[in-house]
Amino acid sequence: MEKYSFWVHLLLEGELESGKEAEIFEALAKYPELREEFRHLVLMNRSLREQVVRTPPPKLTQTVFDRLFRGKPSIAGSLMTFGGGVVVGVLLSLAIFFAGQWSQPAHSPKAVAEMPDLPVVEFTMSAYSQPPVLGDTAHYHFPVSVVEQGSEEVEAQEAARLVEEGGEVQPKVTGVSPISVPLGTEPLFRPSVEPVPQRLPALTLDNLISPVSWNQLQGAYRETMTMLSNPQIQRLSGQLERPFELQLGYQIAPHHIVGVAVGREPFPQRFYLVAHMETERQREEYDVRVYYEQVPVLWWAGGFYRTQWELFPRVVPFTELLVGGTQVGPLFKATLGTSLKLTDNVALQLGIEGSALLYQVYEKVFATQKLNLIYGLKVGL
Amino acid sequence: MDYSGYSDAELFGLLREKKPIAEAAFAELYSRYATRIYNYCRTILRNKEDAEDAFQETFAKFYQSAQQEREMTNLPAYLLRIARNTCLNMKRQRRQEIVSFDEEYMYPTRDDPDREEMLKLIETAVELLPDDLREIFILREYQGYRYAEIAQALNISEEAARVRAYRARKQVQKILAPYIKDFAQHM
Repeated sequence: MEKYSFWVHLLLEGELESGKEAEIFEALAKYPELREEFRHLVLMNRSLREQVVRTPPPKLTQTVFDRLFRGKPSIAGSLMTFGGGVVVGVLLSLAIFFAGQWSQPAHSPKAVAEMPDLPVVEFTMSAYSQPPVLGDTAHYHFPVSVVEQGSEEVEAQEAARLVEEGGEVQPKVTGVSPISVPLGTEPLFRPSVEPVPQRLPALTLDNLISPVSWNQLQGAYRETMTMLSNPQIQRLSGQLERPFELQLGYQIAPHHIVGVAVGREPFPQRFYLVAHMETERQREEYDVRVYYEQVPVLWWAGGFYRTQWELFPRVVPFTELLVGGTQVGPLFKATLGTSLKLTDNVALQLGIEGSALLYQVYEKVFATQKLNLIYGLKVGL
Repeated sequence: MDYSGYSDAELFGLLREKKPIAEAAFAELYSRYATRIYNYCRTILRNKEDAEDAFQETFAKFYQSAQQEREMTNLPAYLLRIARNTCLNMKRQRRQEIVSFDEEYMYPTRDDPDREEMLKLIETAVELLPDDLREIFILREYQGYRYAEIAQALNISEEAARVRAYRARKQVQKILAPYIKDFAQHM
């Protein structure tokens, strides 16, 4: 078989002896793997033929001829060139520095050169991206100040006393009790035990900005920002998309939400394969472990469970577990965060999310782990 | 003076003549081989400034060597050997340094993004080859040298050059195996 493989290479180079052509074509008809090798070689050859051929720049040609036939450039000229270059360089550096654009390019070959002593092949430079997410449902508790009034009997006694004293009858406020009402399960502005008093609640800041109702069905859009990643691949594409997630959740109990989520984000991958040669002797000499790096931007979807509790008014910490999948393998996420209510139906979410993507390359399983910062908005539907 | 009809060996002999003749002969040889040598230096060194230094040095050494009488049977192979030694020396000197790669070399602009990516993949895979296989691959596939020229430049037999080129291509093909199927479908 290796003989035919060698012949295929010779055939494509036009160097196969004419007597062997019939045999190689028979072999091509017989062995599918030989045909595949033939196709791949044709593809490689076609690409290589179209490579860019560079001619030496005219300035370089001039330098060669000057050096060989006209003597070297004068020292004064070199110094002037050098001095001019220094001035331009300093001015340019200052301009860039003060413009606040002094940064190492993300797509830095130097960064690759500094990587551990491993052969690296980087194939995909996909964009960083994500769309919106449903899902961040939260069960908020809002503190409400309610004016409690005395009973009718107390009021009647008080009114009689006032009349006797010649005063005017006024309803009496007996106290203000801050209460917490779980939104979506209890009507707002209602004490949890007593009937709702037939009076408007006191006008407080809380009342002004608290929602009247909050649906159990809620949706959220949030974005993620990768803080740590294993593998850490610095050479990302310059065209970054925003990683995003959409969630749709339903509150099944006061502190428990389940839902579904879909998102899109980059997952840096680093895996290796061993490129084997044909024979044992060649393997010892030429086998190479090839590391592949890529940053595919993947869609993912999954189901989540969240539990939450009220820690402070308007601040609802939560933990969330998500199990889902991508086209390359299963995905697991765990989030610790908090929701901060902004308006009637909108809350801000912040948190830390750890995720792990498992993927298989041939018979080996590799993993990508990330630590993300999440931020987004939740709305009641 | 038009030396385009002269053979390489005749032009090489003229390099020992007076300056105008030598310059014209050199210009003719330069027009024949400068592009190949330049591309070789760029491919091997992958850094434009280093490649231009090596290129200059190659032609300077070549011109100096022509001042001594010698028989020239295969001038492109002779030039290639000088370029090779110059580049290898430069690589040895640079080995301890972190050299910034020439992005324009790594990813030259082409019209077809698929082919461009395919070339990029091949280039990166070639970097993983052992030195002897990489050199053969570059000379044969990138520079288009004949096996006879490669054999003479590397001081090996033609058959050895052929077998090494085969192993190099085979290895590149294996390195690219996870991706090449996709490309085969698209291209």
